[in-house]
Amino acid sequence: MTKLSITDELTPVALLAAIIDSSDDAIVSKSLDGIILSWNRAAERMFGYSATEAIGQSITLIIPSDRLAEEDYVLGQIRKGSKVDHFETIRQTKDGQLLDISLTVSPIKNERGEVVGASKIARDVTHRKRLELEREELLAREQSARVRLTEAIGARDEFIAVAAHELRSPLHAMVISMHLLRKLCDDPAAMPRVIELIEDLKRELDGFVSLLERLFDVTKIQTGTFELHREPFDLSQLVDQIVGRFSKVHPAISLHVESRIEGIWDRARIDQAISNLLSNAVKYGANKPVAVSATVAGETAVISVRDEGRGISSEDLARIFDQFERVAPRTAADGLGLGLWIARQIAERHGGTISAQSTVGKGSTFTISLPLRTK
Amino acid sequence: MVNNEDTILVVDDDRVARTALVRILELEGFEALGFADGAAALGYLADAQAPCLIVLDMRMPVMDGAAFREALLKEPRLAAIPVVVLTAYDASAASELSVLRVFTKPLDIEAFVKLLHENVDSD
Repeated sequence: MTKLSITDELTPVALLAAIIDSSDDAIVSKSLDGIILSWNRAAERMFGYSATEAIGQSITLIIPSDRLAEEDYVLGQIRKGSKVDHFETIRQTKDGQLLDISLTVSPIKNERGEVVGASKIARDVTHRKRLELEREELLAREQSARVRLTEAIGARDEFIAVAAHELRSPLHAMVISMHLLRKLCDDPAAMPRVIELIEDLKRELDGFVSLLERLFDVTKIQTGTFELHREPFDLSQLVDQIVGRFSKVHPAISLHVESRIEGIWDRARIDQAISNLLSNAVKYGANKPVAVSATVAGETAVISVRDEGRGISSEDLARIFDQFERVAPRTAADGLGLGLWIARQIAERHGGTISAQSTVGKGSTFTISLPLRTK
Repeated sequence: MVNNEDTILVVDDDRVARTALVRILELEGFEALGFADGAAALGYLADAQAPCLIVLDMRMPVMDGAAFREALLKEPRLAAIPVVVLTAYDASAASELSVLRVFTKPLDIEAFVKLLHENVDSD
């Protein structure tokens, strides 16, 4: 059996028609007035109009209204005998969908070389455009992640520097005190100073341990191993005890508690969070009275600590519960800027909230709200 | 004017460290006075004879170590007083203050006392 070649089966014109019909790109021809003269199968698939519907209509059929001016430009180029190559634009389908297409429009010339119309090849690049867009979005996301990472590394480095300073200072006081203690031990008359030094050492050591605890808390929170050990207890009693402790160093603390506020919380952590608020109120409260209250509002226990200190600007209020943030300048008082962040973690892990209101020059109120019932 | 040409000033806001260091210096045979910040020490120096040495902490409220050192250098009568820095930060942070020596906290007391004896006459 003899195999026939394609050119044996089809005339050149029929062959061209077959190529055009089997193309995946829409191939359309139009007159110089923009009237559609031919419309292949891919054009039918791409734009949704059948050849019968499209032929004889203006090409503006598939041009979105805000892009009609493009057609004047394209026809202008064609009349001059120029080609419009890989022109990326948007066209509209019969059902109104917008397609990203890459368009090549070439002049059709007659035997005398005069331009009589235009052929138009359109490729749907919607998918490619979407990929490009996705790539750009990914790139932007990657860049912003990189910026956040750089900021986080900067904050961490600063934190390590400050933490090292905060750890070295009490160590220094302890080393010097120990040295002096050793020297004074030989002198019985120095006994009162020895006792004083031992008390100083104990306080320094307590401060050092509590700093280490806070650093461990940060690690626990960040590694997800910060756990609550809930037990039923009376919050009013706890607040009373905390205020009792602070009253030894700051006599002007007033207390208003409702009797018996029972709940199931982590006693040590709640103590830590409230103590942090009270410690700040004493430290930044300009030696003025501090008011503490523990009340019940609906299903919530509300503990508030109010001072009459210098207050916090609204800008600072927005970031005060963030990690490593502190409002006071680093040189003004000790601290790592971790206390409020840890207090927030404690409140939130109990299903509660922590908030602050403040007026510059008048003072601040910090409030912890805890659900009375565990969800 | 107080005669304190044999006196060492200890300028540090940490009360425990400051008072203990002053006592250690006294036990080593020096006269020593403590101040809680640069401004307090500067106030004292305005009316006093220049001390033989100043031990200076860097991070302090009111006037920190760097500002205090700058104020000393501006005053010809005080500019030549040897200064030993104690810092809880990296020693390089104080390297531009033109001081006798920078010690990091916690202090190596033996090395510190040795340096003082080499540079200051004790009684």
